[in-house]
Amino acid sequence: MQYVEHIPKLHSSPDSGGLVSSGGETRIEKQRVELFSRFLAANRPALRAFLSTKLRCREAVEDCLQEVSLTVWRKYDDRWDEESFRRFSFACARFKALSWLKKNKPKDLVFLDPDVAEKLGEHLVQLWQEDRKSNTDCMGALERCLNQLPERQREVIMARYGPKDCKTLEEISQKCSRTMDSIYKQLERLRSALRRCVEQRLDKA
Amino acid sequence: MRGTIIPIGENPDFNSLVEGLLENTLSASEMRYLESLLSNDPQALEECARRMKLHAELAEVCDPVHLELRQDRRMVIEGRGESRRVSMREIRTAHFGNSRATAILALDDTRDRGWWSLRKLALLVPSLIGIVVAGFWLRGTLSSDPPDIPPSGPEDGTTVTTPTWSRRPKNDGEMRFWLENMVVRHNYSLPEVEAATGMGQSEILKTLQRLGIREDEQPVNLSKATVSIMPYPGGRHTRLDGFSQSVNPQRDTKFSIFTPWSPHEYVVVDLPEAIHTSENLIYLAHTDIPTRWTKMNVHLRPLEWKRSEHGDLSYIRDLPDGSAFGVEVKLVDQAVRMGIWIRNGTLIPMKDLWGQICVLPAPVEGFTILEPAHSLFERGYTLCRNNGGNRWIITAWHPLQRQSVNRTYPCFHADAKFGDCAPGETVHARGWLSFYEGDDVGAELARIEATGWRVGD
Repeated sequence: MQYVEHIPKLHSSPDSGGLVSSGGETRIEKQRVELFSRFLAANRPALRAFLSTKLRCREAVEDCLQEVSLTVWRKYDDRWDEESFRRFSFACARFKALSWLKKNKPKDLVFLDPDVAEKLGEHLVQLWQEDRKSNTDCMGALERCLNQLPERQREVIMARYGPKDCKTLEEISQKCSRTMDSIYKQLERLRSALRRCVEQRLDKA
Repeated sequence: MRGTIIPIGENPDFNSLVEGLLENTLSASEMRYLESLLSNDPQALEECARRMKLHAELAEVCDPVHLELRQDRRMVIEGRGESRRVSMREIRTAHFGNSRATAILALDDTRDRGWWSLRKLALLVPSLIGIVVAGFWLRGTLSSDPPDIPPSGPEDGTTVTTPTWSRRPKNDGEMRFWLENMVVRHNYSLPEVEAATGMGQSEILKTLQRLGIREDEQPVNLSKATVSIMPYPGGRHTRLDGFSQSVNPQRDTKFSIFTPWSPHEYVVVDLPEAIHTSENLIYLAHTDIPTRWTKMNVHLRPLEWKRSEHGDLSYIRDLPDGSAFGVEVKLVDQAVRMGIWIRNGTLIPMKDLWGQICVLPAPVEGFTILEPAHSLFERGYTLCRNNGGNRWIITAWHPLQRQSVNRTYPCFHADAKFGDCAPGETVHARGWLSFYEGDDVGAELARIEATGWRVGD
């Protein structure tokens, strides 16, 4: 059982009980942790997409993403800027994906040709870099678009992407007596609609 | 239409291929065809990358990262005699992940502090050992976590074992406060004190004797007609029924209001029993339903009420995402005024926030079963009366989310509504609880309304 000891926060309350600080001081250098968490939060979606080009199974992507986060934290140097963080974490992601494939040798899955996957991965990273340079808040726009969806459509998105306590796509298909094919079609339409919504919001901004 | 070039993003075949890539449903031949498109057509590559980007962003937005770092220090003394080596070993633990995957890192970073002289050690070692021992003791005390099993015993509440989540008072001052609270005010039996403090019965008896606390002692300065408030000590279940819906009730958020009808009769208010957003349960004062944090294996540290010299109670609870909530309780003219605030410390708006505030009147004579005919929802107030029909407990919250009464627990609610809370913002609600004896409850409500409690003092 773990107690929260330090989490980067926007605010803190000196008398509060949420933090345990042995000896009355928070010993993790706040600035270091805040920078690290900022870099990690900014690069995680790109890392996830990058890993998705190399690994076909969702659980493998999640596992590798966690391992990348840990390795980068272990190696993280205070002198790093975001570019150093990005370079190191993507190199690390590449190795983690390869090592996962080597270790697990999945036979029943179909993979993209490694050269094509590499090209796609590089292009993805480039897209995120463009967003970062132009300060485009895609995630913020996406979140707002997601909030606009009617409850039932949002339920489908959450079943696919949400926390594990959400309903699964299979449960939704059973509940609504629909085939999985039709659910996947709806998911495809929802993703397209969300993408259009994000583009419109960003155009307006 | 012959000769028309369909943009790749609008080509249904291409879209299906990319969807298949995202959902892992492509056959080998489809994958090879997609590869050829991605290798030869820059537009296809661009389109596919954009779709994958949205896919990854959706995963981040719907199930955001959880990051937890822990740090501790360990002192290591090596060697003997005049030349001893002292190292401060720093242990860092990092937890990364979201609800689907979590990884833990324990990183040892030994920092050599060099060879220290015996003279320095003679001064430092005892204090350091003291700190380490105290740290272990304190850790043991603080981490007496609520067990994950429900209290055993029948559901009729007659012989239910009290929850084993005990807290030993830290010093004599605290010991006196809590033992007086338990024995003199709440009339606890010895097993109940044992459950609340984790102390053995013989130790409790010795401590009571040493501190001069007597079971039959009358509460000091309390006449029959005085309302008073105190932190609830735990160790005794606050319900008479429905234990499986309140496993390991924590005392952190509970306080007792002693009625004007008897110095030993009290209602317990759970402030709050729970806090909900449209997406999550972000706080729960028991353990039978997983909260946003327990799903991530993050357990909030036990907390105690802060008591002011005037007897007011308050606390602030930080939440792991940087948000926090705070509670204040004060006694004004024989009525209890309460306030809660919630601060959104995240970068994401909190939607439809509301707090479940439970009033448990079982220890008050005539309130052990709340018959529907004995309850009223009037002008935003929740009112419950005793079997005799002339004693009322009245509570309300502003803004109000909902009202309810549970007949057999027994408990009743006026729940607080906070609405939406933008990042960095704080939302507030105010509450009221008072006792009334008489026949004109309408006039009493008018009197309460005239106090202006909804807008504060």
